[in-house]
Amino acid sequence: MSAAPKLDSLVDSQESSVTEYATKGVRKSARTNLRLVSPMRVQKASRGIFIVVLLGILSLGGVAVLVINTTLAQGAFTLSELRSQQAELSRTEATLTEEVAALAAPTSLEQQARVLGMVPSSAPAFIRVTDGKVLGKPKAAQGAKIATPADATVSEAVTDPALADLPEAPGVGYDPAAADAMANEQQQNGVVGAKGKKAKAGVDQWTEPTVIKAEVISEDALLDAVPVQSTGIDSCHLANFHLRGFAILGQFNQVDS
Amino acid sequence: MIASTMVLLVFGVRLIDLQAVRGSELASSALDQRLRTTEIPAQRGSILDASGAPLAITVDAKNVTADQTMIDQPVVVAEALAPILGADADILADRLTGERRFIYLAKEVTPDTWEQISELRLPGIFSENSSRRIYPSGELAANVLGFVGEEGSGLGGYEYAYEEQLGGIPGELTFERGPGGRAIPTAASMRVNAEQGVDIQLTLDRDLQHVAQEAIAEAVQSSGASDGTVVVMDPQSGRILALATAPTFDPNFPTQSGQRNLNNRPLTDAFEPGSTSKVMTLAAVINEGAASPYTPLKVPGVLRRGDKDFHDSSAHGTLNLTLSGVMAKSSNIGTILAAERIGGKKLSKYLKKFGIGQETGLNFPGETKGFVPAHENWSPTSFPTIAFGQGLSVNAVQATSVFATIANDGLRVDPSLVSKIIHADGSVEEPEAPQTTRVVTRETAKQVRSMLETVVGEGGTATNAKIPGYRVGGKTGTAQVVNSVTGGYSKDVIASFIGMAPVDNPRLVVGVFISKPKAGRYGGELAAPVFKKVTSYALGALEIPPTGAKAPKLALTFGG
Repeated sequence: MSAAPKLDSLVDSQESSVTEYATKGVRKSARTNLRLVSPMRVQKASRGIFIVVLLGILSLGGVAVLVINTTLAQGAFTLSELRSQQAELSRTEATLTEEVAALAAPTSLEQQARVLGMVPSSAPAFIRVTDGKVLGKPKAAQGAKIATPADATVSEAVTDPALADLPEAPGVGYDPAAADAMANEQQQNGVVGAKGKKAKAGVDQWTEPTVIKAEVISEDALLDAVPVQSTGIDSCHLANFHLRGFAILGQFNQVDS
Repeated sequence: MIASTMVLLVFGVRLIDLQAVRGSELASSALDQRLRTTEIPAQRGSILDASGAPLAITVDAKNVTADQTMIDQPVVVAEALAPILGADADILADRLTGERRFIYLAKEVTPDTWEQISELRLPGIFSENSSRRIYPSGELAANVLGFVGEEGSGLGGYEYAYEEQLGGIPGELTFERGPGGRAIPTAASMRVNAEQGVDIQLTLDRDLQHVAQEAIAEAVQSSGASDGTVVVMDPQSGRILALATAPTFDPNFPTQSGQRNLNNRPLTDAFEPGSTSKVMTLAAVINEGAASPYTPLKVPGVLRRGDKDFHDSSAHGTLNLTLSGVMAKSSNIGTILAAERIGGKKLSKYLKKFGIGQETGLNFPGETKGFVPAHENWSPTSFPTIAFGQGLSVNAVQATSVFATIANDGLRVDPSLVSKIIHADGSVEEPEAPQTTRVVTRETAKQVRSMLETVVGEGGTATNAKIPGYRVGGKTGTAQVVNSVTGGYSKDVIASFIGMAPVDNPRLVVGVFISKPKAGRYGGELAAPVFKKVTSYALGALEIPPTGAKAPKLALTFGG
């Protein structure tokens, strides 16, 4: 805004200097051929154009200010909208972080595993995948069973007749002797108990391990249950089936139901 | 004319005074009025387990505040807030009544709770950003983690020990404030960013810690003991994989637990090691070449040294035991006879090398380094008693570390609990490599290990520690507890078992200590089953297969 009066004064001084020059010229030389242009006319025409230009600049400025203001306001709206969205999201994140951390805590994992009918294994054992040799003395896990509806579901899954019909694939290095020895030991220990009949039927068939994954349980919890039916120990399951050379037989094992 | 000149003069003088004389002073005080500095809090670092799972984290929270002058109906507001805050409406109403412009109603509520409150659009109720320390696994490793106070700074455990690093350095925002309290957008502002706290990664394995904690809690309860401790170590690296104690506390609510349970007993409690200490004595004897596992010893039923008669835990006539037999049967008299082959000065030197009476290097607040009397001060009965584990004191980590040294072929690796420090910019700082000390030779360690295996074998004191399919070795201890009032021994004992697996290539060393049990007394009957539970889980979880080697038979007796 402050530019306007300055411009005006500039125009004024220009006008007067032009007039002065013209008069001077007339007085000094009196050359008539120089008086071709009427200074008044020039003055009138340039002022008109000037006003138009000024008005143009002014209206352009006005429009620009309007556009900028609108954009800024729009930006402010978006900003505050995004801010509240961010607050909302970080709130959700905080809540979820807390929830996930609580669910992934070992205490809660164990509880959920037990609800699924699993108990901790007492005898760690490994299958060496290269030659199928069993290292350690696997034993059916024992422990108090918690009767819940979820229990039944998992038991059904494990004793599902469909699983019994899985392809007999003894694997490259499957060692039937070891499996037999293991099955015998189980029976001697009386672990198989009432399920003896079923176990016997399964003694000499190697069933491709089927992974039963419980969605609620995190991957690192060693809770993936894999039934090893070939050994006749249908109460014993592989946890974390590793191809690096060893497989763990049961950290948390399905209780023989 | 004169009057107007006078007025102008007064104005002029005032103008000069304001602009030139006090100009800068006034300008700066005006700036002071506008300038506000607020603290940018530094986010406290997390404490993680060995796999990076969070054990202690900081989450966003809100403090609920009130302006009492804006609240016309405190009772109505209080009744609306009470169910959300889980507080008593009467107490809230009290806090809402008065002339105070600022008062806290609740601290560290979840953002969700604040959301529910703000939806009520109650006048005079405001919030303030805050943060909350949570321990998502509850009691898990609480003894190591410690806890924080109301201001969010560490008051116990590693929260306290690493306060400076975890806490970070708060930043500052300085800005010019307009009448409404908002920042003047075009004015200059200065921002010093907060330096976020570091994350501390421990060597503890969360799952193993959980199993150890459950196992010891159960054993303490079933035996009516006052407390118990489990230490699990990786002998090769010195890393502590689990450090459990029971009863413990929930760091989310530290004030709800007794002071006693806030302690990290494996490091803060010293006790006489008892028979587990015989391992040091016999290792020293073998290392000095004074005996071998097969050396025969005639062990009488009573042995007089100084002015005192020494006995074994059960009365016997003269026994023909080998050195292995002395270990397997945990004979006090046999241990004294063996120790006399090297003498007290050498024994004292070995104890020191095993780290007894020395700092563990874990820098844990309140840690005890135990006590061994200097050799010069030994009385005639000191030598025989120290030889079988009385008259000196250790903490549970030191005692377990002795076995870790034997497990690691005689090379002692200082125990460690912190594996990494992760800075906010992602750079990782590894602590200095732990110091190693050669204590006994590889061959000595191997011989001691095979002797330890006989303890778990037939005729040993800890057949309960057997893990099917694995070769296990260890030593039981049933140490008398010194009565702090009389200075003599009380009826109470500390039943312990410290063992390793697989004994022919040890990957795990586990120490179990049960203090003052009411039901049961011996390490073999109380501590060994806990060892078995924890170790068999750890072997499976850490994927340690059995070695498959056959245990050698060591003769425990000789002659006929």
